[in-house]
Amino acid sequence: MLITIGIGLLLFTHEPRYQKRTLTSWLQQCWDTPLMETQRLAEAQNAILTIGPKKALPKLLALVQSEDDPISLSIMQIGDELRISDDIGDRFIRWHSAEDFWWFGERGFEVLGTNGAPAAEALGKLLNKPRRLLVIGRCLECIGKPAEPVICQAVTNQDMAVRQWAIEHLASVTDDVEVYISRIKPRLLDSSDAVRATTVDAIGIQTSAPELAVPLLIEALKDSAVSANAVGALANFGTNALVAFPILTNLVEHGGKTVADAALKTIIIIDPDSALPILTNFLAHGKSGTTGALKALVDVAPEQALKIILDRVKLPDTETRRVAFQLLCRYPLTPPVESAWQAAAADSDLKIASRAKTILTENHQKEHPLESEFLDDPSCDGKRLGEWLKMHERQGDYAFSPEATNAIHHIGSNGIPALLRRLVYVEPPFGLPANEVNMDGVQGFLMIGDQAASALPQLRALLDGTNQSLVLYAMVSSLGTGTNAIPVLTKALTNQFAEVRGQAVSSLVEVIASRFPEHHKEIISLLTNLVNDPDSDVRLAVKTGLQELNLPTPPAPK
Amino acid sequence: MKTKADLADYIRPLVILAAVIFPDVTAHANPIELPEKPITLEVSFLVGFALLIEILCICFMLLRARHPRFFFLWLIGMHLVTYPSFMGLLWVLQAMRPAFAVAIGEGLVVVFEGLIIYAMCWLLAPTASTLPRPPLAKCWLASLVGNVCSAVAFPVLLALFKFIERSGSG
Repeated sequence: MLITIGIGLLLFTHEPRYQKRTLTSWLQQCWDTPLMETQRLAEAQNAILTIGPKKALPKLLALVQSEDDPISLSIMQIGDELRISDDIGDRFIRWHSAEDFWWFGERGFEVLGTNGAPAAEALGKLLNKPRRLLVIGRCLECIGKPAEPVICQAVTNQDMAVRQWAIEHLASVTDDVEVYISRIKPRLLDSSDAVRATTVDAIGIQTSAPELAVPLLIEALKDSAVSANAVGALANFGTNALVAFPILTNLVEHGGKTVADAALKTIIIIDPDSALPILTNFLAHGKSGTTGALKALVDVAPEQALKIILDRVKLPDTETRRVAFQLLCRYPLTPPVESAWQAAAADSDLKIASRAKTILTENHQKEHPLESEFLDDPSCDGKRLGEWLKMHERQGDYAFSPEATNAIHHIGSNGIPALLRRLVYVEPPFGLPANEVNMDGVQGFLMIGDQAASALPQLRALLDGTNQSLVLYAMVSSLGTGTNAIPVLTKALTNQFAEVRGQAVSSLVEVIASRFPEHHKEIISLLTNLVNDPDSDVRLAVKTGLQELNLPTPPAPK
Repeated sequence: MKTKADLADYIRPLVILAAVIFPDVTAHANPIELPEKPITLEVSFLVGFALLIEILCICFMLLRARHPRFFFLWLIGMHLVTYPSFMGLLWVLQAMRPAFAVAIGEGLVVVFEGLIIYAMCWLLAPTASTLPRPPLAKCWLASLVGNVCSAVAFPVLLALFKFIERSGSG
């Protein structure tokens, strides 16, 4: 027993330290600290660097080699059940699983960078351990160039996932693209489909060496398991992959659906002029899988694509029109494009029509700035009401600056016509909602408070509208007038929209009743009328409201 | 088309603003509490029985040695010191693997409890007794046996508690 205690304490005290804290403690700080806490993070990184690779590496290796033992696991489980310990630090004791230690070790390698090179070989041996690839992979990536031999060896590892990882990461440690391709080329014959696909993808992004990559990718086209990857990869080489054009054309005609679709897209990218007739033919025959190719054509030959798109927006098939309009969004509003959007605004498909209206509205806004719609706003201190109304937080509490508050108060009831115009404003030319402008109106009314009393008849009249948003805005606009708002809110309680009724209940309770206790009785009587409201949300609001007013809830209807 | 939720999002801040205009309107926060199963009974059962087993073992081991009157209570009192110390030690050693930390902690507890028991038997035991005073090795052995028994019993007691709890509720 004494020997165990002795060894344990020896291990504990023998850990490298900096400023009396152990390396593990610094690594934990490194792991726990969010990236934005730069100072705390830098402190931990500095400590690890000061301890230095010579002292730190054995400990880091020990950490990434940690294994969970059944006793530790059951101790952790019991501690968790009895709420004594956890693995995040919210309880008295924070135990660490082996996986936590792996990531502590990884943090160390990340800080040490290439200084961790002496550990690369030992790390390579850990690649085969179960569940360890991610963390060991990260450690080797952090070591960088010095880990090149280890990653090279991993390319032929018995584990498929390790081979895939090595193929991908060898690129970052190999300086010469020719050397890289020659290293991974044998993996095109790997027994695993996934490894071959990874190899094709890795070769496919070596666009600086088309003379090496393209022939390999053409060869890979024969492998049915990776041909779709190879077809896609060839697109990365543009005109450098022209030599593959005939094979790809053949795949367009005779390949499986996925491969044929990808091949059509690739030939459009490689040689748009030669591929356009094929695409046109496909489109004419209504073949599926042309969307990708059409998108590619927009990128490489936008003018040619536009003609096709403008034809397709007129087709009867809704899905075809949707795709065409989606692509049309990428074009500036030239006269032919604008007239296509004008026609789309009346499209039978609501999605297309809505999108067209939004685009045309945005264009209208650019040509007719909002300020021009409110030129006769009253002014104060050289600024128009509209400018003062913009001086509030768009998020959070919507507070106005003191200057804006004073100015709006000063404008007072003179601003009512302008505020009413804002309240009911809709975006021309299609009358789309203009919530920000409406809300400016609402806030203006709230700010002028009692001075808005003369606008109450108009606000009351707006409650009869059919636009739910505007009805809500009108109702809320009245709240600044205090008890004068009660008739408006009373009318809102019988509104056709449940949302309006619910909001009226909340407003009566939260704004009026709490400010004017003398109106409690009146409000309670108003709310009681709504306990049988057909909408459950309104009933809930009434129940909550009555509870807040300290009244027993009336019995629910049978 | 605007949805109900969207509208509520637009309106809520405005109502809040309206409420802010009247400074005596208070917000009624209504946080959701996730109920946690109470574990006081479970912890009391586990610690109580584990302690009982340990004390019984020590008493049994030192039955034929000179020991103080109310030895049982003295041992309970000893745990008022050693148990918090053990937890404190675990806190200090929490960066280690739990098995290591608990082994070191338990080891130190055995050593210190052995010393305390030895001191009790030599300093607090009645001088009139004819029984021999226990040697230090025997005190350590008693402490070791007691702690091993209670440590081994702990998971068994936990399983037993769960079984009783399940039987009670089901």
